[in-house]
Amino acid sequence: MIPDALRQQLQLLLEHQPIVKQIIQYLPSDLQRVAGTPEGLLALLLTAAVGLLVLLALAGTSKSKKGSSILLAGPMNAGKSTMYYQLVDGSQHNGLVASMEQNTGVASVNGRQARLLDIPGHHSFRHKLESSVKDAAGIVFVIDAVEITPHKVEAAEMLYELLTNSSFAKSRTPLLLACNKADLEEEAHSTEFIRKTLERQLDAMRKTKTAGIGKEASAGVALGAADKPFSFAGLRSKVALVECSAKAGQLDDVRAFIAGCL
Amino acid sequence: MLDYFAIFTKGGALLWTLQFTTALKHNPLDALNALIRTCLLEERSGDAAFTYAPKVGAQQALKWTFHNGLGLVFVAVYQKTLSLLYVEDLLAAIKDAFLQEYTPGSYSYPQFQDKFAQILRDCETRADKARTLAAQPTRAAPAAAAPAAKAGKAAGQAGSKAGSGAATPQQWSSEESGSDADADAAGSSGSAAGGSSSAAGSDEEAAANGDAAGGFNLAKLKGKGVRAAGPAGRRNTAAARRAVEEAKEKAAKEKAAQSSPAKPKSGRVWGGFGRKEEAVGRLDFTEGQAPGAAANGNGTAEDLGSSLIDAPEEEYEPVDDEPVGQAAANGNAAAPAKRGLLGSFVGKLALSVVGSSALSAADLAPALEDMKRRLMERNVAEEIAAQVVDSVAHSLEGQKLSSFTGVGQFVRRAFEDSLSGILNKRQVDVLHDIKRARARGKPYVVVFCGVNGVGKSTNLAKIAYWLGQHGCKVQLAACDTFRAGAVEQLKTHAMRLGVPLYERGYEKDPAKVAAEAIRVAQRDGRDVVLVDTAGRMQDNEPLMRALSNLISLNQPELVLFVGEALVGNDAVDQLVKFNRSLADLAPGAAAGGPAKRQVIDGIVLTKFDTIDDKVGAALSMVYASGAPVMFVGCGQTYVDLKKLNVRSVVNSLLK
Repeated sequence: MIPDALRQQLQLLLEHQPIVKQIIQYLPSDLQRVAGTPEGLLALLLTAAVGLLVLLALAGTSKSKKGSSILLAGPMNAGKSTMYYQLVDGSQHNGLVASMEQNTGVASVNGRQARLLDIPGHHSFRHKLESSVKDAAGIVFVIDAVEITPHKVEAAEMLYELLTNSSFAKSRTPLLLACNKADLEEEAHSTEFIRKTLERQLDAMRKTKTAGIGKEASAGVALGAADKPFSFAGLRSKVALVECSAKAGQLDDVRAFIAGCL
Repeated sequence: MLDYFAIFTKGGALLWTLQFTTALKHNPLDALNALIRTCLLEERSGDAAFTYAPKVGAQQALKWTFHNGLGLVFVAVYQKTLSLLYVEDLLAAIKDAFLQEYTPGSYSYPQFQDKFAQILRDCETRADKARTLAAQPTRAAPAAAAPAAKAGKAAGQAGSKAGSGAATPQQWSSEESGSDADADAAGSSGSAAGGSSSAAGSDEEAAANGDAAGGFNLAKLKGKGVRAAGPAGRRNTAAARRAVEEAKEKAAKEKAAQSSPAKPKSGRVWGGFGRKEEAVGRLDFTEGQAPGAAANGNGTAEDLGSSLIDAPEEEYEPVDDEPVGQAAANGNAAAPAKRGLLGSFVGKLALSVVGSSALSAADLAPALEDMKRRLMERNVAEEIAAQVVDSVAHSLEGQKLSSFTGVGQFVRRAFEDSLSGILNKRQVDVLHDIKRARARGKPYVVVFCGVNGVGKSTNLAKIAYWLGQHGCKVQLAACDTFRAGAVEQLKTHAMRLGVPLYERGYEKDPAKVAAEAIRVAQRDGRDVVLVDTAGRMQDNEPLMRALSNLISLNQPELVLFVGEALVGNDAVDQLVKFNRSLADLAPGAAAGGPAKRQVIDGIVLTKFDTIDDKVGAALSMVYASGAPVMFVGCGQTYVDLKKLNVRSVVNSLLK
């Protein structure tokens, strides 16, 4: 079956390589007989090679690759696209309206290149947001610090969906809560107030959402211990809160976070 | 005169704006944001115009156009009362002009202002010329004005009928938007033509003007005794119509009086046909049986397990197949007779393999037609299917295919995105809201409404079971005081579920029963009150008025519309009319509106287990009302309650 040259090489391998003989001895007795012949040895070598390739391929896909893009998410009118344009272009040009589709681009942050993905906050983009989380090296969740109270439920819902996303929890993607619109100094709430508001909302939400929606039970566990009230510090992922203003260009904390994610 | 014109990218960056008037009290960007959030992102980009009502100031109308290849949006904003005719013309011209100057990445176009002013002037003069030309009474005009006048007459007569519904004004406005020249001929300076005029009065006026402007022989018309033009004629016709109406009313009253002479009401006899005592005796089974066993066969509902809504969501594997592509290919195969086989082959190659040429309407048409037919086969209402297809077509035209995707696959992906977007609405978290209401000390009131026989009482019981499982104290309110057995049905459910029921029997005012039930619930410390109402047809005005009375009197936190998944085209009509009745017929709606404007907050989709993959009713209802599907009833036992699985619905629709 196999050509003579190959047969000769295999015969030489069998006879003159002690390590091959040692390996054959470790095999079970039936296989030893098979491995003694050149055809058997060839077959074994081929299967071993194929098996190795398959293992390598599986390992390559199952290893959680660190994502490559920074996600800008948040409720509507938070200032995500303004922040995007400030980071990418350095100015917000003539102003912005509500985004109808996502913005992607490359920003140079502290000397490094970062790919930004800005997803609109409208509810019809929720599934796109969910599918983009697995590819994210870091998430900047932009919140309107002025209008936090009327929109706290919407912001908390989006944040909840983000925190209970399985790829987010598994890869422990770092999360930055950027309290935007700090340039309106008197009207913008403090980060402490926003933190407390969101924590309270998420605490209430995790009790009702695990009961009603029908997601996996692990989603509830991921949001901290059930007996203690919810807090961002208790999460496994790193969550930081900063103040920033996209319109005025005060985005140093955000830039530092992005540079740290890459 | 326009108020504002803006050009921006789909990503949100404004490229060029022009503000015509500084008299606006609100930020003009608010109108744009409202347009994007409530119209364009809700897949309504096929609509003719959008109305924005600012908090201070007059209403504005917005018109728009896209350039999908470059991702640009052009929007013109003007006062709604003006109803300018040249706006669409202007949008198209500005689009062409701007594309010559546009460079991606550049955000300042200083020299575009002059070009814009010039194009605006051209469009205005063109529109003026068209209007003056059409307004002149010529011999050619009667041919054009006659259909307008006939339609006007038909609309006027229909408009004078009580409760004519939305059909006729829609026809009228669609005719107008189709033939702007005819509308000009009618002389109505735009209040009927541009905006959405649905009042019968404007129909009448437009119709009468049609006679005046067209070259009719007035003497001939007067002689025949037909409705004549001119102020005297108009008065005569209005008076004549009023006289006819009064005569009709009188005849109806006489007939009613004849059919029912003043006779005292006699008691109803069940089991009739003569054998009164015997029949009643036979039907009454309460004697001689133990009170507990008489109620039900298998005891209370505690041992049924948890509701299916709490079961983990099944993993849905989408079946990946390409029937859309094949059908589109067949459609394309039919077209090449015009272009020649070789030309069409090269064209198809260019589209699907190289992906260089932009998609035109002709390329998309077969795939879109196939998609519309497919949606309608899945029981989506016809007008909803048309609107969704229209909206997706608007967003696809001019886009370039990436290489190696066929038109069919491209269209299918676009539809998947848009259908998921429509069905994925913001969910109301009922349990969360109940907890908040509990903290405030008031019960959380839910009202179930819908047409006859959709499953309101059954699904009310299922939801009561689910809430009970999550520790909420439920109270039922029997406000269906009309249907025989409705109160007994709820009594049985209440007994099986172990919840209290507030009922006052039959023939009582449902609004008052509901108010008393809420008071009793508050006194007893119940968390939720589920109010069952009688089924009613959406066209029945007195019943719709009673429903809106109930809702506005009790101000429920949640108004659920119960609709069955078997319904077809009627779904749209039901929802639109229910919504409109709740908004318009509420007492105090005329006096500037109540504190909380009540419309349908959520949909309960019932009888979902009876349809296999004809799930289109979900899409029709969600698109027509804008409310999310909060519960899905999928069986007739207490546990058969689920949430809508958007992915599986979208896949069933596109299979």
